[in-house]
Amino acid sequence: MKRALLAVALVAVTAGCAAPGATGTTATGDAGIAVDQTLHASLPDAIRARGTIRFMTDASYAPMEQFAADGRTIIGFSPDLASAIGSVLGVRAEMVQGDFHTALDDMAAGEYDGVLSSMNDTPERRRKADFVDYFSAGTAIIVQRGNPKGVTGFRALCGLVVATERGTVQADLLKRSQRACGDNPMTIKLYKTNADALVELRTGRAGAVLNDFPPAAYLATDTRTKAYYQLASTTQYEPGLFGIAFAKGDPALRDAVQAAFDRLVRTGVYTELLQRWGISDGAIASGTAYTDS
Amino acid sequence: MRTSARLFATYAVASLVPIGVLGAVMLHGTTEDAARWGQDQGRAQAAVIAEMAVAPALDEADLSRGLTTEQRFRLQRATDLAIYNDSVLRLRVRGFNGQVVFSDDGSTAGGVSINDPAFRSASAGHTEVTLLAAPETPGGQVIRVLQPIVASASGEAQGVLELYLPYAQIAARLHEQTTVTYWRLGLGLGALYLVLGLISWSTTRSLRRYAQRQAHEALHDALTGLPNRAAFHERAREAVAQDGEPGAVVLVDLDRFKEVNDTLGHHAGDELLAVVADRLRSGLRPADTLARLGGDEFALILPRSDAAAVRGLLDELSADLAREVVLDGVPVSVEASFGVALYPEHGHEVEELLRRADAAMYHGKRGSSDIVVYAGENMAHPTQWLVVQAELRHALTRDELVLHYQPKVDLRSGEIVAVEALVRWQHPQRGLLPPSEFLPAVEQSGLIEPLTAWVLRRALADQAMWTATGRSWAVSVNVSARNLEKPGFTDFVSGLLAEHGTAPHRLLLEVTETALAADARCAAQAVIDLTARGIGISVDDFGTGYTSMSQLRGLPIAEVKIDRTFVRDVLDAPPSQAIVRAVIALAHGLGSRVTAEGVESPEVAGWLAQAGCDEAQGYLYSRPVPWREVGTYEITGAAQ
Repeated sequence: MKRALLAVALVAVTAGCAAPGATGTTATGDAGIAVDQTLHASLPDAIRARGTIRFMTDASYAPMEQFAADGRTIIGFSPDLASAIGSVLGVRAEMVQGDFHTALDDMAAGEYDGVLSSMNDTPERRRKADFVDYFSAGTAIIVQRGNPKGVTGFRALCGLVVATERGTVQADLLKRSQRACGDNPMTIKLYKTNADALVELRTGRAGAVLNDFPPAAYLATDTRTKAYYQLASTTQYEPGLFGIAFAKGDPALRDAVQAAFDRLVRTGVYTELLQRWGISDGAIASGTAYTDS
Repeated sequence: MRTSARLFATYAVASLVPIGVLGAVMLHGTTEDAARWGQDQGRAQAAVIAEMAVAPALDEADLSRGLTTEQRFRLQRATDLAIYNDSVLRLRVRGFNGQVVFSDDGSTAGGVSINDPAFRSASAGHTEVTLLAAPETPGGQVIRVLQPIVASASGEAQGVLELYLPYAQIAARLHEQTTVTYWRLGLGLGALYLVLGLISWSTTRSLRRYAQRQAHEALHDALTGLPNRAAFHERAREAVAQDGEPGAVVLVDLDRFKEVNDTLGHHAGDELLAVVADRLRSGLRPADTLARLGGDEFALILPRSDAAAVRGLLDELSADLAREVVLDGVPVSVEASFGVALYPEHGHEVEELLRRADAAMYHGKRGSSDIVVYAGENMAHPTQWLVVQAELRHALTRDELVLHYQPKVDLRSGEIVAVEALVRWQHPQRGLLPPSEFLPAVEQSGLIEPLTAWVLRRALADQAMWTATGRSWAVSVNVSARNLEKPGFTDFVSGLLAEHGTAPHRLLLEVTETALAADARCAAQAVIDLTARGIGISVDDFGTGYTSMSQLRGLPIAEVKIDRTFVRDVLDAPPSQAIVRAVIALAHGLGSRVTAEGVESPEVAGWLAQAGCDEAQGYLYSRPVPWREVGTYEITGAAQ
């Protein structure tokens, strides 16, 4: 983690622009990654002209994406991956804080070029966007340290307040699980950020929070948070793929990013970044692009 | 005393320096700590205000777009009371671009410039606390805090909170704390200084005492407490420097100290020295000085005294010393030799006087008087002995020594029955020297052994030659106490006899009484061993030394030689006659032959013959001469 922060500290910070939501970071070109001119040439004209790719993210999901101590820089695996992809494509990658549950719509509206925010590549979402997959993870149940409610699996969530971030596959999973609870339903609370959901669990207003496994494991092991959180079990529910979302009808950018990602996989940069953030379990072999046309 | 006071003052001043530095450093530290504590108080207050009042009110806010009515209302509700009560003096919520989104008085003007380093630092996520002068507020100072506003759990910063907090209460508390700290510091350092002072006082006192003790030890002898050689020289210089005041420098040497030390042990020797020191001290006048120069050597300075007064005083001291001392139950009588040099008569320099006193003392040791006043350069000086010894060493190798022989005549037959070998030194510069010129020097050195060996060899060789020419004289050779003490001496002599094919009874070893007395047991054993091999032993100078009757009783003595001092006046002095008769009777009673020394007239020879003396030796018959010349002298008055 420390090493990661150090790496981030080397990253230049863009400041003071009045973008919607929060301003984000831009990772400069990673040293040693060569620009692929062919891929650069294949980028949409607008992006080449601008020289940046703007990825929306919701920085409340350590270690995937989170705010640094200054409250403004976004750090984590996702920004590093974005930066590396930018380096291959010969443009700067910029991470912009935004609302997760409106991310695809905002992208469709042209506010961002893509969404890189630990978003699961699901059939529903493919109706709204194309994806380039880059990570694999399932869902985990986080409870207070000591597990006072005795949660061991989804069945035990019935009758409890369960919190999660709005618009996530976890929110969807909770809604689908509700049927099994019968007349002892869960009280499902959805929040704008994952951090807000965790505040509910920390203060006892929620009995459990659903997260993807990597950030859940991070919470349960990081020295600053492990005193309050633990995993209900090591089970990963409904494993799925994280994907970078792109607006439909813009295959050029999507394909360029996919090619860049594959190059990172081949050159070992991808593996190194996963190791840097301690999430090597979620590695995938190549960045298949999915579209649901 | 004054030195130690100055040393103490130096310590006191020197220790003030580190104390002062320590105090300054600690005061500075305390002041800095206080300032930091004050800032930390401000920082902590601001953190609480930001997290508990400001952040909840700004939930979901986007400061770049300003506040909604509801957010503004919530913020006012949360901060009104604090502002009204002056718990917060001024509060501004600002976007990163500097825009004042909210302020305590409703204005959107004012605030820190966005180019201010503090504002920029707060924009980058740091909390900046500054103490500002504010004359219009109570206490005259306020704390300004600039810190990022983090309104949500995700940790995202939304803007900068600009807070002004009252400092008066913090300052009062700080003042109270620092006052207490100053007092503690002052008292602590004072106590430390006091302790340092006590330590240095005690150290200087110890040093002073040590120095005094050292000074005393440097000038005094540890055993007797008397002034030592260095102190003696100092005092002697002072005494001699007094113009026109006659006085004396006296060296005192115990005659039998080594014997006491060797036989009764060092402990007894030390005790003896203490007794001697006491006796000498008690016999002196207040102005006199007694010092111990080392070993059994003492020295006196007798100022304002002429020769007669010195002599009188020394006589008393000598008599006092001679009283018997009981050491470890053994009664010991001590005698001492006194060497006297008078000043200014014998010199003005201490060294010179000491040298002359030394010479006089050695002279006394060789003579019969125990108090000897320096009497001119003819007193052989011990330091010349070293030269003599060195020369004699060469003389032995270069064969500069010769043997002369003095005949012993049988008083009944008038025939020469034996000769006494007497060594002469054919000195390249000084001519033919008699033994008295070099034997004392030889006695003091290891040279006596080679010298005796040389004499024995030569005498036996000469004897072989005169035997070959028909003379049957026995030969007498003088040996020293040192020879007798040397282990293996008997074997050495036997070896020489065998080498020259001489019958043992034709060799006579002459030993002085003193030699027999010096180390009675050793010498006696040697005498017994030599006699057992047939070699005769003669007691030389009988009557002048220290032979005790008990020693004589156990020894097989072949010959007793009566000293010339008795023989010289035997015709006129009845006491000498009595002594000589008694010695003759004694010697005969012990089975010894009697030889008279120093016979210079036929009358004496006649008297001796009548008294029963066996043999005689002296100028009447012959001076010591080379053996070839012995027979040519006419023997006169030998037979009546």
